[in-house]
Amino acid sequence: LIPLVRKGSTAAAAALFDRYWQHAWKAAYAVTADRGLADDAAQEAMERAFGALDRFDETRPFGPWLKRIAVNRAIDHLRRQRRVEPVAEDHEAFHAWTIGDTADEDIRLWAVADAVAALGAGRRVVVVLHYWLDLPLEEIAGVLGLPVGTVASRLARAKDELRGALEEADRVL
Amino acid sequence: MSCAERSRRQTVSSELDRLLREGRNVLPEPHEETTDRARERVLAAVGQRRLRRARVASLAGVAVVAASVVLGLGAASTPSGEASKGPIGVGFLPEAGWYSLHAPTRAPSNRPQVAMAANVPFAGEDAVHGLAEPSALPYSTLTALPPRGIVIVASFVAASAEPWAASRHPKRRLPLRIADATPYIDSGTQVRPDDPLGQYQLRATVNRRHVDVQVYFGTPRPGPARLAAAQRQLDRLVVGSARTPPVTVKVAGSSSGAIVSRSVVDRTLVCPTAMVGGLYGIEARAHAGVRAGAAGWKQLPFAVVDTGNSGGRANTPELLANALAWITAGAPSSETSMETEWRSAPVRGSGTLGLSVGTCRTSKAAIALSSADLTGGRIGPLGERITCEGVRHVVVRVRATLEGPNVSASRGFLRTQATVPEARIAVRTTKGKKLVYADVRDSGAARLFAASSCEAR
Repeated sequence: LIPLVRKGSTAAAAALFDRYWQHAWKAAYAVTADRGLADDAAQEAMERAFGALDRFDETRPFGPWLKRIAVNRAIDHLRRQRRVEPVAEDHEAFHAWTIGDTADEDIRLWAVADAVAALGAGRRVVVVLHYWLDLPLEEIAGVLGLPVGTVASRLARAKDELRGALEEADRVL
Repeated sequence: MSCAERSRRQTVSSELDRLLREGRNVLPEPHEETTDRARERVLAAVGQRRLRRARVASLAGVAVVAASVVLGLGAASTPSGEASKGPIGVGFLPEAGWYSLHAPTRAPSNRPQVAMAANVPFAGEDAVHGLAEPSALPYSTLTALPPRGIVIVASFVAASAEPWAASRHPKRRLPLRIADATPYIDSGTQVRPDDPLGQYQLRATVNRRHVDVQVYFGTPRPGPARLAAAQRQLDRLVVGSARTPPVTVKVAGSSSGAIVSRSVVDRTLVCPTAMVGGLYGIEARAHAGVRAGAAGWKQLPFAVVDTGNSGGRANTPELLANALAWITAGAPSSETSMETEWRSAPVRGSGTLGLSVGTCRTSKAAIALSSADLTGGRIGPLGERITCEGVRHVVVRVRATLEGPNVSASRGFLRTQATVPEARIAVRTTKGKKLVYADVRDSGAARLFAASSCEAR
């Protein structure tokens, strides 16, 4: 698709967009925990990625590259908004209201997602980047501009906080 | 801690790790309207990107056209039959069933005007933004143009304002004939590659104006009926006589007759770039000068290379907060600014020339002050912006002639308040690849060139 998009094919661009838009948006939402910020960050990420396709190395996968751009844009938006405290919108949970085959498991995952959302932004971002977006600590340190040790301690403190919150909740831990 | 307690904690920890990893599966999805809006914007950008890149090679005409509108003229949409020759002196008298869009008031004679006509209604956003769009094309109308649709876009520049373009604009008489048009647009790409439009171009000098007409058909090969319909509307093109532009008066400095000491500043720096949106790069912007009457400048010709980052150094006007270097030319007054009015910096105080010694370090690297191998050209007062991504460090060279004091250090920059008759700036990568070249002169002219890997914004 990418060579076709480079040639100006809007059909190929539409296919590429449809394939990766949700990934970009979910990455942005995971970082910001705010639909408005995620909308803006994901859209900017897509525009930047498409705008830079001429310089994209086709031998590398598009998805991780886009995800990295989306994460960076989301963090930029988060910093700009100076949102130090959470996050989850009053009218909407951090998780999707869908129930899979194992309802109990889904309910546990909702509780986990909500507990992550309730973390302060500094800790939440580290958890999300590590567990949901699969970034190693060194890479998180690079994204956030923090020492690796600071990232590791934030992650440890976040897990302590999550453990405490989830142990209080029924049937989670 | 007992063994049992330690074992329980390990179990809880591994279960927490598992749940945290699985938690990503319950993230919500974006709303449909958000998705639709993002898709629309991305696809529109893809459609316009090639066209805009080509515009880098033809900055002169295009940027100048947009300037006339944004700098205070606005746009007017007139349904069929309501247009008039009116005060503007140029435009289309619409045929029955046609619509026209044009600047409603007379522009200053040194600024161009643009008018459009279509046999389909203009898209709403084109009616509002069409004339202000940097390329001065009604993109929304064009991308949705049906097979029977025709759009004619005409721009008008006083011939005296661009004597270098005279050879491209042969003298013709009204009505212009579509038979004289070329079936392609010079330096223009296909607006709608997936479903190509017929694109014709006709240039002429009429009543001391350079007239550029572009005719778009909803089908790539319009038949005789479509061509005749376009000709009927072209017959109703009005081109009033251009006024003689004001005499250029050189101000201050050498024009006063005083003896002014001249010196040359020639500095080369190596500068780090900044990561913006996950990509390292630089941004180059430039615009031509705009006079404020005969005695001074409202806006000096200007070029700047910066990191494009949103942060910046304190106590510096926002426009220059992230600058690696900037140049101007001409004698500023206390009212003279750089860049557009909505984001401007006063020249006095900021300096007519600046180099970021706080961010960069001096270098002995060789770098040519030349536009060779780059594309671009002369630009208008509204200016152009180019980004070059994928570079972590750049070599920046500034060379300028100064009338007055040389540069001195101030707030992280080497600056001067001296009048600059002419200045040049060049940027390359540390490995030697040329990226940007710009120059400005006290005539008000500015030129900007960039590598093909850079992108016009």
